[in-house]
Amino acid sequence: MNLTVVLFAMLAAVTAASAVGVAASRSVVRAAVWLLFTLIGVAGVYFLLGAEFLGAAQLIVYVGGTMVLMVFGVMITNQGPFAVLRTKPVEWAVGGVLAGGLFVLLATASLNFVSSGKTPDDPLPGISPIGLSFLGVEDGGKSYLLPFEVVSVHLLVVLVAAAYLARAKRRVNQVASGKEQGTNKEDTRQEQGVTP
Amino acid sequence: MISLWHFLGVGAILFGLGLVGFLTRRNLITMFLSAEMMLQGVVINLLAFGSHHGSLGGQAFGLFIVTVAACEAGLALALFLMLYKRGRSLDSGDWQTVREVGVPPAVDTVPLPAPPPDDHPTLPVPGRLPEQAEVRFQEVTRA
Repeated sequence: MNLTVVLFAMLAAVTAASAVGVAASRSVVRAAVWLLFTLIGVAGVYFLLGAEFLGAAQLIVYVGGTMVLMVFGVMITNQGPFAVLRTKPVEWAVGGVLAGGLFVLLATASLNFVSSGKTPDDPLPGISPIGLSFLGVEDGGKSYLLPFEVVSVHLLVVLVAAAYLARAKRRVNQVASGKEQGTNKEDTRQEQGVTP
Repeated sequence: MISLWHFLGVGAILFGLGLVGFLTRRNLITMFLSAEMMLQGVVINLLAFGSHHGSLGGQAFGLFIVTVAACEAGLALALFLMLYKRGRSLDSGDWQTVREVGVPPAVDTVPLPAPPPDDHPTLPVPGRLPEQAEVRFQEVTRA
């Protein structure tokens, strides 16, 4: 038994088990927490695949940022009467059959693929070639300068758009808000009164 | 020995389970979490092929995917908050007004169960305060 094999078995088991938890849990909060463990396991798989930078970025961006964001979103919006999810057996059957068929297809395809393949023994080059290729320094590799810049502008645009969408704004149609004022007077007043 | 197939298998498991979650849920946040899981499966595939061929392309694509997924998460949360403010619901079936022109609305064959009535806590019937408490209260107010 190699150490890599043991590590891979553990990480794959953790990832798959918590992915089952995401798909099967009825509470949104529990699904988010299961997804947290899935992401951590996937980051470990990245480390095993030799992508240390991507694994670290995954831990920082997803586990540190996105999941905290998701938990905040769940906390804010999880107040309705249907906070517990209910899924009908028919929906389980349809989704399960579709996903099972897709999984069998992917597994057989990759089994056929690997029969003619090999596993490289030499490790991948480190982080610095990735950084150089992102910055357009073509050192025998490919240059990813244009996608890098596009993605950075995309991040900026998304930041501005998210701040614009989520800002506190005055209600436009008072009819829609008047309908809710009997039930949620507190929240409606908060939404209306923030912007002067 | 771990081969390429094992990593591809993990990616396929993640993608399949994310597909199950995406198809069976109606809550927008849960659908979003399942879509994130499918993205993770795709990134595992890219990285496995990249390390199989000894190239950096897989890692570069993976980094782009992680960046775009982070963007998607921020934008999706802002949209969820806006939708929740407007409609007090995150059911994806409630937002059929944004469907395309000419597409008939999806109607539930079996209607959803009625929401349970609010059980607000009721205060107990107020009675006489014990004497000790009254004495303490007076002392505090005098001081």
